[in-house]
Amino acid sequence: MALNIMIVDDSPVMRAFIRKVVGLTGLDVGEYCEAGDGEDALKLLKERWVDLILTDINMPNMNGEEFVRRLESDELLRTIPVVVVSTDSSHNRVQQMLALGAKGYVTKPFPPEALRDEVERILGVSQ
Amino acid sequence: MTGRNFDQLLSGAVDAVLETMFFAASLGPAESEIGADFLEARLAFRGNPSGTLGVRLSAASARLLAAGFLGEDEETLTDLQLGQVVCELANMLCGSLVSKLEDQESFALASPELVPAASENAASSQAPPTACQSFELENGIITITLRLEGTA
Repeated sequence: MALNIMIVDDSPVMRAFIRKVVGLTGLDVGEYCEAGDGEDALKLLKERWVDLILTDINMPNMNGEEFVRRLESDELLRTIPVVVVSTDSSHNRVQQMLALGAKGYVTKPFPPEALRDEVERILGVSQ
Repeated sequence: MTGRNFDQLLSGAVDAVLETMFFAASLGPAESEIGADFLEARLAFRGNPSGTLGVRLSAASARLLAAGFLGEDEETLTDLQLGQVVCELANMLCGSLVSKLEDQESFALASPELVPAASENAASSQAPPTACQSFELENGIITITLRLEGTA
């Protein structure tokens, strides 16, 4: 079954890069859904379902930390696996985001296979 | 922050970011380039330490890096995309660098902004950089400037 994937990042070129990398994984992707911050992402999630969320942390309006908190506080949305894709590689930040409910964490810069491996691990698929 | 080899940290961050995300490589240290056709992005970061990071490179280099990053032909890239890629490059260099400065603490990175060409001279009125290094790319020079608060 094709997967719908949401990419949340305030940089349009970073969203394009992630889309390209996910495309290289060979995953069967149905639709990509993109948002520039957590607030926009939550609005989109009221209208459509996604199977995986890839989100940045540093974003305007609603950052990734608050976004993951909001997802976790919703009975339905908390079932969507979240992978954080961020420049922040500090131990404290990684632990904080995983404790909040993120299922994976990829630090920028990353080789394409690092994101692919994390996505496949979380979705339980192997190409 | 005394005793840190900032040049080595900058060099490591440039290598890591260019090789993994832009499919490009630094060809080694270089003299900074002077010219009109440049793109520059800056961002501030808060943490321990706080400061700013600037990235400056020629439009031709920006176009080459953007093509590698987005996997598109150089000719098809818009000026908007070039600016966004240079901002993202600054963001990743900054993130990579501050994580080497302090690997336990979190840093808050502001959104990178392009520096208008007309305001480039304003840089001379800023505090002297903590570190400034230029690297040769395939078709130009990239210059990274790090300013840490309280170290001038």
